[in-house]
Amino acid sequence: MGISEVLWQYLVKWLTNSAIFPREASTVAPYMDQLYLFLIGITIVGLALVMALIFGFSYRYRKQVHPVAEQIEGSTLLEATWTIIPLGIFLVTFVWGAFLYFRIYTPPTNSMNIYIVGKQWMWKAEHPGGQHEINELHVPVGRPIQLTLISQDVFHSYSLPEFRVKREVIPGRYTTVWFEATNPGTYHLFCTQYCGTDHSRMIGEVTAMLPEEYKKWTEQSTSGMSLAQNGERIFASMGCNACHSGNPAARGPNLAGVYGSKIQLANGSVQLADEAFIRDTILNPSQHLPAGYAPIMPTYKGQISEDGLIDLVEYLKQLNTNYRVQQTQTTSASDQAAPSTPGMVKP
Amino acid sequence: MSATSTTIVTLPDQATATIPKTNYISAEHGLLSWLLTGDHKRIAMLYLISITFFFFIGGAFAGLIRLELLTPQPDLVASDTYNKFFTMHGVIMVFLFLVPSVPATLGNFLIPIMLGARDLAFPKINLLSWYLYLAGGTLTLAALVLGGVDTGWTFTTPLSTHYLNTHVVTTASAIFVAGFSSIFTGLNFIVTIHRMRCPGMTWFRMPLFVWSHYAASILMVLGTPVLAIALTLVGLERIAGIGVFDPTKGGDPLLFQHLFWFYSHPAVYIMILPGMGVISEVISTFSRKRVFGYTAVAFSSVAIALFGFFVWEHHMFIMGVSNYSALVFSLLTMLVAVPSAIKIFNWAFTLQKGSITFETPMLYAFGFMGLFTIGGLTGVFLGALGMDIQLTETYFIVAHFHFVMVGGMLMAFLSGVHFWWPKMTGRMYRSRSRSWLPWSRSSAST
Repeated sequence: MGISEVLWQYLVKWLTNSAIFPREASTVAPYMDQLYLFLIGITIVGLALVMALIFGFSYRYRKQVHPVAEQIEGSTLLEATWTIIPLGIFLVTFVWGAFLYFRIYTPPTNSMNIYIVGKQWMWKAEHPGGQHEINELHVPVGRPIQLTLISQDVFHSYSLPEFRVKREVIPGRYTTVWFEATNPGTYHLFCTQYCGTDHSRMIGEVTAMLPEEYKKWTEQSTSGMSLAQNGERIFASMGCNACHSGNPAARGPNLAGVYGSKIQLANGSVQLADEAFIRDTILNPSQHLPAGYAPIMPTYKGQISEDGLIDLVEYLKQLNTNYRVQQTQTTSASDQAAPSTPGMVKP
Repeated sequence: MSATSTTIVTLPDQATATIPKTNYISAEHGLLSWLLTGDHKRIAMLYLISITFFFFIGGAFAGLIRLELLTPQPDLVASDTYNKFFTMHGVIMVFLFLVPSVPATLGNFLIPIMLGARDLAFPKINLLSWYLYLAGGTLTLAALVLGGVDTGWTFTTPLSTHYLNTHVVTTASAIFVAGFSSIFTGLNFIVTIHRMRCPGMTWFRMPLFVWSHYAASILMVLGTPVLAIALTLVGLERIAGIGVFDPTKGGDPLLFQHLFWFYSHPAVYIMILPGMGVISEVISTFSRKRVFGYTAVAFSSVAIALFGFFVWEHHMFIMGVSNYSALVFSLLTMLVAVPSAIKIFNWAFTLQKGSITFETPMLYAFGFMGLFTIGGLTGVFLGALGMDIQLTETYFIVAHFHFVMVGGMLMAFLSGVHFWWPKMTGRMYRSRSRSWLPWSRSSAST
C-alpha cells in the first residue's frame, strides 16, 4: 500500500471501531474497503486539484493585479491530459469494481444455501434443515453462505452492511448473494428498498456463530421437518404425484434427477432446470412444457405460498435415487451443501 | 448580451448607450397580455414565477423531512406521512423544478437572443408548454391536497401499482402532463437552433449555453416519452390490472425499472446540462476570457447526451440483472464521467490569465465547480460495480445526488438568474446582500 505497516494497522483499527464505518465481518469486506479508500483518495486529490486551480488562478489573475485578460484558445495537449488521465483512473476503478462484483455475486459451489423470503414488513429465513426464523438469521462463521432471496409482495433489499453485501429481493424471481462471516457476533440486517409504511422497521439481526455453537442451534431450533420433507408433503397433498409418479407410463415426466439437467421444451428451446425454472414451471406450466408431453398440467398460481414453493423446489432438488437415505441423515442438520448445479451462477 | 461569442463585443459607451423606450415588459399591459403572450421572454418570466413557487413547496417538504429526522422517533408525523413528505419533495423538485429550471426560464429567454432569432420557432407551443407545466403542477397540488402520495419519486412497482392506496394515478398523470411541457420545450429549442440561427451564426460560433441546451433538448425529446409510457402503464396496471409489471400475471417488475431509469438517468443530464451552459457563460464573462477549449466543452455536452442514454442499468446493479450486462453498463458509466471531468478542467483553465472579478454569479459558479466535482467523483464510486453493492440504497447515494442537483444545478440556476437578472428585468440585484448567499449555500450543501 506504500504506507507503513504500523500506520496501516492503526488505520484498520480506527476504521473497524469507528461508528461511521461498519465493522468488517466477512471475507469480502476488506476488499470492499480497499476500493472504498482508493476512491476516497481519488476524490480528495481530484477535489484538491480543482480547488487549487480555482483559488490559485483567482488569486493570481484577479482584476486588481491582472487588469487585461489574455485570450487563450485552448490546448490540445492539456485537453488530452485531462481526458486520458481521468479515463485511466475510471477504467482502473471499473476493472477493480467488476472483480469485486463478480466475487460477491458468484456463490462458490460448496456454499450452504438458505432461503430468504421478504414480505411487508418482515424477513423470513428458511434453512434446509427446517429451521424457520423471522427477522433473524443464524449462520456459522468460516463457511460460505448462499442466500436465495425472493419477495412475496413488493421489492425489498437484503442489506448486511458489516458483511458488505446487498441484494434486491424481487417478487417472482430468485436472486442470490453469498458471504462468509469471519467473526462471531450479531450484525445489522436492513431493508434498503423503500417498501411502504413500515419499511423503516423492516430490520433484523444476523448472528454469526462458531461452528459447534451453530450445530447446537440447529438441533435446538429444528421444526422436525426439513424443507424437502415439507415439500414432499405438499407434493402429495396437491396431488402432484398423480401424474409425476415416476412411472414411465405416467402423464407427467419423472422428476427425480431433473434438477440441474437440461430440459428439451416443446417449443424447441433447451432450458436449465434450476430453482427459478422449477418455480416458474409450477406456476406457469404451459410456458415450460417439456417435449413429448401434453399440456394438461393446471397452474398452481395462488395455491402455493412462496414458502411452499421453496419447499417444493428443495424437495425436487433432492429427489434422486437415494433421497430417503439422505433425508434420515439430514433432518436436524441444515448444513448440507446445496447440490451444486452447473450454471447456477446467477443470470 | 453575454460576451461569449467568438468575437469579444465592445460595449457601447455609458453616455451613448440608450435604454429603449419600450421593452418586452412595458410593451403590453394587463393580465391577459401575459397569459396569452407568444413572446419567449414573457413566457420565460411566467415560468420563472411558477418554478420558484414549486421550488418553495418542494423546499418546505425538505424542511419537514429534516424536522422529523431530528430524532429517530416519529415525533412530528407517523411513517405514512413521512413517506408522503419525501415523495412530494422528490416529485416536485425533480419534475417541477429541476427539469424545467434553467431551460424553461433562462433558455427560453436567452436562446433566441443568443442566436439572433426573433423568437423560438413555435411561440404558441412554447406558451402551451407553460400551460401544460401549470396543469401538471396543479395536478400535483391536487394529489397533495387530496391526501398525498407515498410511492417515492421512483414509483417502484408493484408497490405503486398494487400496495398503496394513495393518489398514485393523479401524481403519475401530473408527471405525464408536465413531461409534455418538457418535450415541447426541447422540440422548440432543437428546431430553433437548427433553423433560426442568424446569418454568420455557425454551429461553432454558438454560445456554449446554447450547445448545452441543444444536448439537453435531445434528451428531453427522446427520453421523456419513455417516462410517459412507464407511467401510463403504472396507471393502467392500477386501474385495469393489465399485468405488464405484475409477476402474478406473468409480468416483470424489472421491466418497470428499465423503463423508468431509461428516462430518469438521462433526466439527470437534462437537469445538469443547462446548468453547465450557465457556468460556461458566467466563468467566461467574469474572467473576461473566451472559454478554454470551446470545441471540447461543446462536444462534451453532446457526448454526455449520447452516453447518457446507455447507462441506465447502473441504477439496477443489485437487482438481479445479468452480471455481464452490468459489466457493460459500468464501463459506459465510467465513460460518461469523462466529459464532465473535461468540462471542469476547461472551466478552471478559463480562469488562467484572465482578469477575474468576483461578482455574485461568479461566486455561485465557483460553488458549482467545487460541489459538482464532489458530486461527480462520488458518482464514480457508484458506477464501480462492486462498490455500488455496498453504497446503493443508502444515504451515500442520496448525498451524491444532492451534491449534483443542489450543489450543481441549484447553484447554476442561482448563478444564471443573478447573471441575467439585469437583462431580464432592467434592474440590478442588490450586490452586497447577495454576495454572502453563495458562500452560505456552498457550506450548507457540504
